[in-house]
Amino acid sequence: CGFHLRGLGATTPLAFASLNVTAPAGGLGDVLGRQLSLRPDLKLLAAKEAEAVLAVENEAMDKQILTVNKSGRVTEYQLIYRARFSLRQGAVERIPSTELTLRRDYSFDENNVLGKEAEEQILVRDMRSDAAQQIIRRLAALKPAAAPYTPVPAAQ
Amino acid sequence: EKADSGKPINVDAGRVSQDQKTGRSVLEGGVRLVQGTLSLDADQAVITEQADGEQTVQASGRPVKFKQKMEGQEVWLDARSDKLDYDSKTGDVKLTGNAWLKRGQDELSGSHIVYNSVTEIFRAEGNASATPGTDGRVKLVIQPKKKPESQAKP
Amino acid sequence: EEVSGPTVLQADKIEGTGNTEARASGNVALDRDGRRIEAQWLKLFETTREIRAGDQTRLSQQGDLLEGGELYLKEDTRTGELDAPRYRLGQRQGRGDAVKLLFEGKDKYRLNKARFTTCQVGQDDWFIRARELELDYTRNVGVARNSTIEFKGVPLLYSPYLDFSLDGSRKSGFLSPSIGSSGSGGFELIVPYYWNIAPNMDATIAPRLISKRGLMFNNEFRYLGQDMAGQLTVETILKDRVYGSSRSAFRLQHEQGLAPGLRTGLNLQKTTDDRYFADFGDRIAVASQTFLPREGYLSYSHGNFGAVLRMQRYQTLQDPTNPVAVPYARLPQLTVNYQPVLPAPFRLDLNGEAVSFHHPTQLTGERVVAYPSLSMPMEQAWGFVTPKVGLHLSHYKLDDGRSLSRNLPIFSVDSGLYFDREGQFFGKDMVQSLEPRAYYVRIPHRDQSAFPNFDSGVADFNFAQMFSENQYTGSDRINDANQLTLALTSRLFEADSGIERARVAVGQRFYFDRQRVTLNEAARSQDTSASDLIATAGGQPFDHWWMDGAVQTDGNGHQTRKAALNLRYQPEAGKLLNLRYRLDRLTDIKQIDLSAQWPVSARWHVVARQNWSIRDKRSLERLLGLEYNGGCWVFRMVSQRFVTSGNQTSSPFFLQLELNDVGRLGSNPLQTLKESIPGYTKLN
Repeated sequence: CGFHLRGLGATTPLAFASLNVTAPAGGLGDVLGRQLSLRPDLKLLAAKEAEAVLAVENEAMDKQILTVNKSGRVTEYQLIYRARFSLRQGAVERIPSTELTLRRDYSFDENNVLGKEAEEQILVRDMRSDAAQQIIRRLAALKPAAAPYTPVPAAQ
Repeated sequence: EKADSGKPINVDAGRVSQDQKTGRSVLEGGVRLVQGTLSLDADQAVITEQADGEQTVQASGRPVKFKQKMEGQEVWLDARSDKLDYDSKTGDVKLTGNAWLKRGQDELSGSHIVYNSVTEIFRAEGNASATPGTDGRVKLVIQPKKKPESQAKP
Repeated sequence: EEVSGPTVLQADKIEGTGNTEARASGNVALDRDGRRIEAQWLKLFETTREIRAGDQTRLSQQGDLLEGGELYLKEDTRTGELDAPRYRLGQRQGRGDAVKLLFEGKDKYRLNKARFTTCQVGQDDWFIRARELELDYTRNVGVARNSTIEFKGVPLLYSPYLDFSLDGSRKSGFLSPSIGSSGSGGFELIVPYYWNIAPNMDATIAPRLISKRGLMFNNEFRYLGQDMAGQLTVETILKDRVYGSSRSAFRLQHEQGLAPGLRTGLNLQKTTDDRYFADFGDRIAVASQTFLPREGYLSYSHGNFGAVLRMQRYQTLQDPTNPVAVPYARLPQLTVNYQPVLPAPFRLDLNGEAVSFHHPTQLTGERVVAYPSLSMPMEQAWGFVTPKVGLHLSHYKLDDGRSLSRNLPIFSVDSGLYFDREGQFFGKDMVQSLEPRAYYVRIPHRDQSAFPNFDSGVADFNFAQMFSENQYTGSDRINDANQLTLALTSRLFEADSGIERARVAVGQRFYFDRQRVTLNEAARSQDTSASDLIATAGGQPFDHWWMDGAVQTDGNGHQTRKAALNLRYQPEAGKLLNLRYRLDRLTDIKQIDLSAQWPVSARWHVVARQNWSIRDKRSLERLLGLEYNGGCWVFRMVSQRFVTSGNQTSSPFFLQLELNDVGRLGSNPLQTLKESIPGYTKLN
């Protein structure tokens, strides 16, 4: 049915051989670093040496009531995770500042507050790893800059 | 400068005709007149000697060019116009028709300008019925003055 | 005085002496540094850089425009005055007129007996009329003294001091008295006073008169410092006539970076009584608060080492009709995690936690947990395999004299393959992926029935939980496991940018042993060998349509346990329809929630929400509102009715007039609209 293993056959190389991830400590930057370090075709270097810089500009976590029951008690919350990132290769902005929004719902049990707090952390870690994968797929989709990269005028 | 009127005038013109009695001499066919720091280029000029040794000059040209050093300053006066009248006694320079005057860095342009190099008073008028499209108004461009203390430097 | 360019003066006639003075007359125009002054006559004193002009003058620079009678201006200090000014200034083109305008430096003006509005020319719907008006475009702050706000000629509000933002950025501009009714207190009047103490510090003192209860003070103080920020909120009512005595609420939130990698923070909240928020909260999010955190932390992280020392307890607001368990306090809790760098592909994770649990009534004690684990992530473009082995060690020292420990190995292997196929979907070059994933976990059984439960609970069964080792959150229960989780995900992303446009996933877990460890729930019956089945789908099927849905059925897919559907149609900002359906057998929830924001005419917009519980056949929240967009002002009228604890309802009513960029009069429904109508956008 047309599916083929990813990467076999015409393996399109990444658009850069080395990358720097600049991000506040203890957040999406670490997850990106861990996932990217598994790629044999990419070296993680300091900002000065790296060919391209992936900047995690900010991360925000918001918690909103999703469902209340008939006596007004909250039965479900929704965690909304927002991450803003951009990619610059030399002087060229390959991916402009973009915001990813992910959501996870979870039921709220008033008799298990500490348990639910721990569950929130699990969901946050899950969303961070999901966001990291989406960002890495966007990096992989970039065409290698054969000639010095001439920015394509943004299609209106 | 005031001292110019005491200096010898040397004139270079196509044709010169003098009338000793009235002290008027008419110069035509391209005139170049120099007297001290004053210099004048015109197509045609009439110089009249006054009894007290001063002179008046009426010149016309396409355009008349006039240059003189200001009294007691290292600043030059440059002027151009269709017709020019100069009276060495009063120091008045009267420019008529496409008049343009540059005093140091500042420039003044209009249809007629009267300027006195001694008192430095100037009066300029545009010509309201100017040909359409050209702004009939007078225009004064003043260059920014450097800080007073830096002006003292030569 | 910055270096200025040449001055160009044009007029019908110009007289003057040397370069010190020039007098121009007859349609005069003076241009300097992008600023132009036009007048009938003008005197220019070059040495003192002063300008006098009249009888009618006009000053313009980029978008700013000042017109009036006689002008005196000292160019170098930008001071001077203009008679009978009419002005249009700043990014937001605030405009108006006055008796006199004083120039008080670059972009700073003071106007006497002035009028100000942000309406376009020709639309004089509202004005601030002030005896004295200061417009400071360097800080983008306007201050009106002894001013009244006039709307369509009707004076609405007098106030001795009023400040507002000139670029629409600062806090919500001036804070006006707010009239409305909220919670169960009946009619309410709030008169906030905003005090801008310093550029990085401000306070809002808001007396709140509640007809049935009495006079309350809501005070909020915010500060910002070098790598530090915080907010203190104190609300207090001296004598609540319904309650009988004084009541108050307190909240301090503080965040600070002490040194690189070292951060500290406080989040202290307290109320004097359990029904405080139910009575005074005017939004569901406020009224439904049950657990008020009281915690402080000190965290250090450097490279791949991180440690957090935390003191945390909760104030529990008990509702007699629905008593809840009081959570344990952790005084203190120390968590450490460290990932030393090992030669690829090995990865070592060292996690540890030591907590001292306190509780007013239940068993207390200390617990120490260490969970070192070694994993070998092997990743290629076409797939990955990650075997992992860990040792979970825990020791309890309980205040009833017992000490317990539990040490067990945890083995797991996570693996997955990535298949892609390129194709044309929605007329675009897209790539569809097919990602099978298998995750096996083996944890031996340890009897934990004698163990206390400080912080554990059963996590929701979802994709995140399906791929974790332990179905219990916290560390008091480690489930025995011999289970394989299988999932299949298919994503659709754009070929040239990699942006994910849609995602479908289905997953289920298969058990090879019966369940022996439980917390407070019943164990799986002997013969169930498969978990619930979960299927989710989400994405943007068509332009302007967003959809995400999830279904959870029992093992063989006959009985639906949980279902949720979110559908949004938003062709443009301000036009929005939301449909939400939620079914949950466990918590007996069956609800449908419709919300909308839609224009009904060029100016009138409707906002509405109906959150209906099908199970209980009653409305959980009903909201109906009208917004009128007057171009430079917006009028909002919103009524809401939502259920609160103890089978009561609260029906706040909001009436608001917002003058664009300048401020709001009346009670503010915006936070309610954002919470009740996902995707709501402000009209102005």
